[in-house]
Amino acid sequence: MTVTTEDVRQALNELGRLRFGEMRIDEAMHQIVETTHAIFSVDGAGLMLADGEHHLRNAAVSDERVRHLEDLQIRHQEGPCVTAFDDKVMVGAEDLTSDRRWPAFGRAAVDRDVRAVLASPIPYNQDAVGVVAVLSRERHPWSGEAELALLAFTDLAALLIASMMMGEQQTVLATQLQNALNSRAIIEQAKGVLIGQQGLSAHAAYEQIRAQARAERRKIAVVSADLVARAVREG
Amino acid sequence: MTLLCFPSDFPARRSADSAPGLLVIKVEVSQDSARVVINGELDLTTRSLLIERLSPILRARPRRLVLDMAGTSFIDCGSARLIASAIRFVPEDSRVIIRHPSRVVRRVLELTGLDLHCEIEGAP
Repeated sequence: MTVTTEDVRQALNELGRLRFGEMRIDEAMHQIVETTHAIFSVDGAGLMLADGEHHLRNAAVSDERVRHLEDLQIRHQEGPCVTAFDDKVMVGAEDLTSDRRWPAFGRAAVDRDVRAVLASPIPYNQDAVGVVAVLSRERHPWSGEAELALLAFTDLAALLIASMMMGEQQTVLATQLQNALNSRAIIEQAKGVLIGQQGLSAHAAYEQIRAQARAERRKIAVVSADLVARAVREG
Repeated sequence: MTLLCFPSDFPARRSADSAPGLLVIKVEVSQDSARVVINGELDLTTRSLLIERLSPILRARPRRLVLDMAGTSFIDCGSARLIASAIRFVPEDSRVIIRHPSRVVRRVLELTGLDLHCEIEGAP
């Protein structure tokens, strides 16, 4: 089923009638996710936010399948949401059975009834802090209208998150996100070091840091901090 | 509200060749009203900043929101859509006023349907 501009308009108007300002942040996110799910007539919608380990964690989900998506992406360290988050672009996979971009994740996802995904990065602080995603258990081509609709919901999520981060309330989510932003800063510095020293691309630099963290069973932010400290010492 | 424009994505950072400080957004929130003054160009590279500046409106829920766009020289559709999203968080009976948009800015506001939800003052 296709998403029309009229559907989106109506859904946004209904969301607008909710008293967002008086809700707890997690309730508000949940409302956005439920509406996204309904409007897309898909099998699941979710809002994921990064943690200090650079993993995307579910903040609100409309369906159990979205939990699979979280698990599988963390296990395989790849997937459409990870790419959307890392590259800060919207990413659509219409059929994971034949998509070669994330081979390990794709196979595992199809086994768990996740076959198509559309993921949109949530911007904050000149970076991405998470994604809004929808998924389908069937093959599902994502139209331009669908991308546009997901962007509209991403805008709402981004505004809510910025409001949360600038508010005084110390929620669990706000703390998680602050950790993510702190670790992201040091990871970016470490990437810069590798790019400068070894002439790697940003993507390859990140892969190298991640591989090292996994091999040494250390946190990615700790490995990054070491890299930066060593570069400073060696001038 | 129609959403006709489609920004392909948002860039992570301001690119090195775009002059920093080109955009200044001031937000004043008082008891019942909020005023946002936007001077400069709003585009994909400024999306993150616009989100941060608009976010206090969500908590303030002003009865009257004024967007002063006299100094806004350019606005892309994504930014207009974002402003429309922020307006969804203010109470239904709030007044939203856009002041002095240039012809170019006004055209984008019309394209995104944002003008239907606001009063526009001092248009050329």
